[in-house]
Amino acid sequence: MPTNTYTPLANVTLGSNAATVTFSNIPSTYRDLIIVINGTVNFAGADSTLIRFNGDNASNYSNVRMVGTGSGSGTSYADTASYAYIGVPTSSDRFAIVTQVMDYSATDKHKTLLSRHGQASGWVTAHAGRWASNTAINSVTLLANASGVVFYSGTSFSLYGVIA
Amino acid sequence: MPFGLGFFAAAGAGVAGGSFDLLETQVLGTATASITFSSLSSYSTYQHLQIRFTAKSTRTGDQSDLNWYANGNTTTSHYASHLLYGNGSSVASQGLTNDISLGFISGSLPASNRANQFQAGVIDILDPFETTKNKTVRFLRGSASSWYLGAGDIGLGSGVFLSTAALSSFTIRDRIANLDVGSRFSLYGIKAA
Repeated sequence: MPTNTYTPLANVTLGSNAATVTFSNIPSTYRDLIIVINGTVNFAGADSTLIRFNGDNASNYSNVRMVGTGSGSGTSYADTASYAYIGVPTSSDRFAIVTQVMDYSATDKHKTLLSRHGQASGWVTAHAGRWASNTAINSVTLLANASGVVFYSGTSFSLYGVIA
Repeated sequence: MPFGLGFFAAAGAGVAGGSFDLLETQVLGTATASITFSSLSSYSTYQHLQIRFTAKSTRTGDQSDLNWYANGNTTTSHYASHLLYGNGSSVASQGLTNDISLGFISGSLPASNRANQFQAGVIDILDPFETTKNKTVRFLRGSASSWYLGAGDIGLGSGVFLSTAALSSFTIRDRIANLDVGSRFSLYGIKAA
């Protein structure tokens, strides 16, 4: 029987600037998570918006991403880091990021994320990330990245759960 | 800035009959060459379909290809695909017509010896039951896995099935080996207003 899903779990609109936003106590009821960010940052150059799971800040994240800057054929990067990348916004204008965290509640596989970021006056980027852990995700932390970078007041963060 | 979610934990999985509905899920307990959603005709009240997956291959030491075809039709001339992808060092675009890949999704399905590493993807099937249109899909898929060519890849693409027939089945296959145990494919329906 069809079962309604894409369930809104939480929505936060910042009342003041913040460097990080954490959703905690995420239930394992769902299979995938979808995170939607619509906002602005204070960094004039391109800097990456980051994500961590379960507070893990060790180098357990593998990343590959491609970037279009508005000129040229685009570039691609890969690394292993203490976070995964989900976008590369600048302060030029409002940005949007949609991140899919697949099989977040599974305990038999690493967690893979897919993310897309776009910004009319900035860059368009796509990301794949892998958290090398079989542990179910129960918290998600979103970081504005470098020291001094913040999400501006008014930036919204929406979290959805999708069953399977 | 922490936000606890305990207050909605009892919200559960939702109710029947929404605008975005789970229809079926297949999680592989044994490796298999392909999976098929074969009852699409019973979902014709939906305007669009979406497949969300995590998958890997039984191929050893090398990545594999992930393809799709519809209505059991494996005539290569009925499919075309475009892909834009980045592999960690460069970005490239690729077009395929009349190709054995049929509807192409990925050439970077993680090999079986990449323990616990799966490729993820979201495939949108647009207007699958319209009988005046060829059938179009689009997808985002990627894996930051340690495959033999490097770091994995991230790609987005589109494909067409050159048929105006309503979709009755949709098959996803590992073109070279088998889809490995633990691979998961979930089908969703999206309503129109």
